[in-house]
Amino acid sequence: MSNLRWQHLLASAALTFPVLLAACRPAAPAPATGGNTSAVNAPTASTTSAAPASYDHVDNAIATDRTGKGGTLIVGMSAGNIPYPNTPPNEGYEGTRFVGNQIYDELTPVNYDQGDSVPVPGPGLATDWAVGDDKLTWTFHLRQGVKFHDGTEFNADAVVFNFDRLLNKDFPYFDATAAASNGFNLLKVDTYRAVDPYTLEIKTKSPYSFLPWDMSHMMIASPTAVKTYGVEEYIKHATGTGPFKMTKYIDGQVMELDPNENYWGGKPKLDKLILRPMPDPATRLAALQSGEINWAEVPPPDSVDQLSKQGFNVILKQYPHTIIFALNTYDKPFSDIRVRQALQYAIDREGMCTALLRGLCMPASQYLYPGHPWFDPQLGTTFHLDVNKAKQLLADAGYPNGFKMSIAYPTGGSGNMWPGPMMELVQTNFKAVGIDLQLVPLEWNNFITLFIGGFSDPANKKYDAVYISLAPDAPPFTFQSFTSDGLPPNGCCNATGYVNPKVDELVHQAQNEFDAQKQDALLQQAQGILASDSSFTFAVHDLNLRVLSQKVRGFMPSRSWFADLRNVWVKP
Amino acid sequence: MLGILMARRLVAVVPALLGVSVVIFVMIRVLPGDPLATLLGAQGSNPADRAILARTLGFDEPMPLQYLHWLGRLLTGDLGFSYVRHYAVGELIGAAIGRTAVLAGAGAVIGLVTGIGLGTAAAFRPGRLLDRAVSALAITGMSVPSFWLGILLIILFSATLQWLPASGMAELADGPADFLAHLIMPALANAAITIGLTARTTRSSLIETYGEDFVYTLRAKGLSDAQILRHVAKNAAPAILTMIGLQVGYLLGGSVLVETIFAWPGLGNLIYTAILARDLILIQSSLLVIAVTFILLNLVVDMLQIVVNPRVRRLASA
Amino acid sequence: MAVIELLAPLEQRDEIGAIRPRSYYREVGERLRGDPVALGSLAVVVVIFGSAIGAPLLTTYDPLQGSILARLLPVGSDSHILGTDEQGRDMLARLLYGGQLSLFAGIAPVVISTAIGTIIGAVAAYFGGVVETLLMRAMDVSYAFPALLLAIGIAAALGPGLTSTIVAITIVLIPPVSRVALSATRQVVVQEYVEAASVAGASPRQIIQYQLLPNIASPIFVYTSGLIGLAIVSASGLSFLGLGSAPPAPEWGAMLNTMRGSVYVAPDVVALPGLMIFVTSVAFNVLSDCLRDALDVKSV
Repeated sequence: MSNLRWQHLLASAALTFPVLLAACRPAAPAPATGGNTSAVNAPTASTTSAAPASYDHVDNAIATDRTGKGGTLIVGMSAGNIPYPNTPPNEGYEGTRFVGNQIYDELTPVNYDQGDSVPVPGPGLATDWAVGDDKLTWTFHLRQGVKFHDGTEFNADAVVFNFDRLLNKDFPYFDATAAASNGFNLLKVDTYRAVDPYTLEIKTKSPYSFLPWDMSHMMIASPTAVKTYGVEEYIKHATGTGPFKMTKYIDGQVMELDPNENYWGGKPKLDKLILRPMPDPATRLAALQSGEINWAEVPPPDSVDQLSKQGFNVILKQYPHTIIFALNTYDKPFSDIRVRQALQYAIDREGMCTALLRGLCMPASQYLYPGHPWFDPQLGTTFHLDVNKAKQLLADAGYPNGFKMSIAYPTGGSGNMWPGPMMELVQTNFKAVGIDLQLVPLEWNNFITLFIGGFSDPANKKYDAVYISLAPDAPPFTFQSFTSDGLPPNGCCNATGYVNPKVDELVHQAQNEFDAQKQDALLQQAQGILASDSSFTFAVHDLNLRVLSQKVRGFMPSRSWFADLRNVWVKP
Repeated sequence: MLGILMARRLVAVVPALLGVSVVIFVMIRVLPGDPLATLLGAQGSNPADRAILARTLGFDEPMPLQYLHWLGRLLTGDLGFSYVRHYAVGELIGAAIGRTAVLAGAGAVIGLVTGIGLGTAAAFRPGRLLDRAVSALAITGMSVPSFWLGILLIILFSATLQWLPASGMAELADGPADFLAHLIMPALANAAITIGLTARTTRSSLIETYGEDFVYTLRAKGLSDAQILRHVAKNAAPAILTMIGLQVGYLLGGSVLVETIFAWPGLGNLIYTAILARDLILIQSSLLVIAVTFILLNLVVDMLQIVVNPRVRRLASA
Repeated sequence: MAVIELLAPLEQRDEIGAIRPRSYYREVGERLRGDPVALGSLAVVVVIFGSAIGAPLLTTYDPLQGSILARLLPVGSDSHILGTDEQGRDMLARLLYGGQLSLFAGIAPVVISTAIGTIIGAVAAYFGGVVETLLMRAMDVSYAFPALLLAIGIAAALGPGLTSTIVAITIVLIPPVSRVALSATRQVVVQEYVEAASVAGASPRQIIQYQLLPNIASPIFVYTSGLIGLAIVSASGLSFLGLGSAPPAPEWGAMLNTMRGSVYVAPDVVALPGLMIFVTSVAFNVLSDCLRDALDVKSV
């Protein structure tokens, strides 16, 4: 047989590949055509009073199943590596979720086991706390009888040690990287001291009612462990008071945790918790389907229908996570509010959430979502797709033929949803109103440099906007992003340069207001003005997609970025 | 004589290493973006904290001083501490290189054995069916993008047949079956190019050698096929040896794509994520380790050539 | 030109029976024409090129726009013969237009590195001594790194984009080309005609340009044509890692990257760009092999 014949055979074999692979295509229903979505994704009637159609998808029977215990939970994280167990861990909120909150406790953690209410700081390592009449001196009474995993006592001195470790540059155990990551949590802390073994006193620099929020992020590590192993080696022996103890940690591969028998909040039901990094979504999907893991963070959106059919537990829950475009308000065209508002009317959020992302997000019209205490009901869902309105606004502002703009978005990092496909859709949307949107993918590091530097930095002026995934319920960071306190170079992270004295005033009042309801009212007002001023273009809210094997029971997702694993158990 | 040749080769390595270290140092300082940005994170921090961090990491020193400090620490065996991963660089690289070596080793074994076997089989009957088939297969192996092959393997063996796990690496200590199951697909994806190149080189080298005069002489002398093969193999060895050296080098470092798809925690993956995270300390030292490995590898191959091939010996001493 | 006539191996008899020189290249052409494999791979290459350049004529779909309601349609769908991608864009259109980008990303570096590498190698071999040592040691530095890592580092340093990919791969290819040029020039530089030219008063530049370069052209050509397949695969590899053209550019490697999440849901469509890379690479490699056989040059 001649060589040519073999080349022919090879070529035809190669060309039959697609046909063969089509046979491998799983028998799922055709992707959404004509707006029809599967049962998983359609918004259902709300069961809570205030909120409109709920985007949640939680199997209550499984979530509240407390009938068993034991089993091993194996989590496939979207992070590229195991978050290192420092205070806090890296890899963003995913590190906090699976490592930080499991190994460590905080003074006033938010309650992550709540089903439908928005979590707020509650008792943790502190049992109660109060602010004095001067509004600056806080007294925390600490929980007694708590031990670190290494058996040493938890007390006020331990907390002071942790403060020193993060704030005191001359402290022999000062940890520079942990200090940098805790920068925001400790911004308002002036002094701290142990009044007696179980009483801690913290003084703030100015009246600041959100101190418990800040303290909810500060993880307490065992002073003995830090002293024994030193700053650099400590993380290999990370020790806290949390529900899980670290038993195995191989960088790049795996972390294993065992339940803490003496946990003050009740021993977790699991026999073991195993964490694996799986940054490739397709790989995570395969691992879940083959049983290698039984909890997959954010599998590919297109696979959700299929997974649902195969009997997996798809979990979606509204929580404060908003995808926004931060606009350069220093220069044209976005110095003009009409242009900014035009963008709000140009995005097809419904299309993005139903057709592109198959029900895995909900349209955002403000920083928070309807039903959240900081959502302004007066402004409501004013911002929705309205191509004519957008064109009108652009024409009024002097851009009847649109204009060119560029937007930078991250290609990596967890918790960003799916910037690539989402931005490509927005590109199409903008084209319909005459805006030529140029997409600039940036790797994570460059992206953060851009965000921290802000648009006041001349180097960043070549971009007109930045795609950012933000937690709008994380004071003080949240406030910094839209008040004058956060303007670079002295502050962080107001990249847009937006300042509205009214908003500043409302936020400062809220920080001065120690009554929760009044606080909420002030912030609601502030958020309404912020939304209307549109320095942020609101795209969508994430719904915290994760898919679990049906055998994993007892996990009640909360309205937050974080997870309580104490009641989780795995059926054999 | 041989010893002097080898010593000379060894000495020539030093300036190469120094030059490489300077190039590495300069190249990664050129990377855009603030190297501390990833450490600080999106929630940012205030400038005072950043300044402290910069001082701790030594980023506020002038460049030449940073370079000298780095070189000094290297000579004492200290590869540095990665603040991004919060681990000593030496440990990270040590672990990663071991894992890449496992993958590269498996790829090398599969690739070289298959390649040499196929190439030899093809060389025996040049122009016939087997030869054509091997040539076609070799070209296929050489041309296939390794990342695409990896995806196809995962589709077939993980998603559809569910025979093999889709990603990750299992420790040998956890059981040989699990270990092999995780190893086989990435090794195959890695080995495709090796199979192709090795088969071709073996085949052409053997055919060429078989066609040389001395083979006729040997046949005339009445040696059996097997004995002739031994002589031929010795003569064909140098070219094949060079190929093996190149392939092992490629497998060691060029596996970034395969490691990314299969989440194999090896050196390629380490460096790639380090570049993305601007983990300058880790990038510097890893690249240097790789460079040293390559240079040493080339050295070993060259030395072997000197030993095995009298012609090279003569040329080298000329 | 004098050089080519000196190389003419065969002659033909003309009208009065005297021997007429026959072009070397004519002979090569004839050898190629007789080889069916060469013709086959040449045909494939021509088809790929032609379809890429002629993309606007072959499809009316816009490769950059699609309807998200028609996402991930399978191969063989009614209105989309090769299906659609994750944004609903027609795959055939994207593959055709993508061919422009991918071919360019593969061929440009080879062309540029051939030019630069040849000059470096030829100059080094001609002058020898210190010049050669300096130039070749500089080239050696890149041999200390795995090619792909070097390319990734360069592309990362320059920021993602088509230009960065091309620059990175060019830099990576220059040293091997220069080595080939070096050893080819070494063989040519000892020939008598070079000595003759030098004695006749030709300057080094003239010798390099008229004596050396044309004579090393064929081994270099063979070597670098074999690099095209590798360059195309490498360029798509860099795009796959996110260092290549920005979306919505339909570069083949970038397409594999963006569709990767749908690999279990729509494997047929996801495999297509990889298939194109594969077929293109095979075609170029086979063609380069046949060229080598036809030019009768042993690998250097």
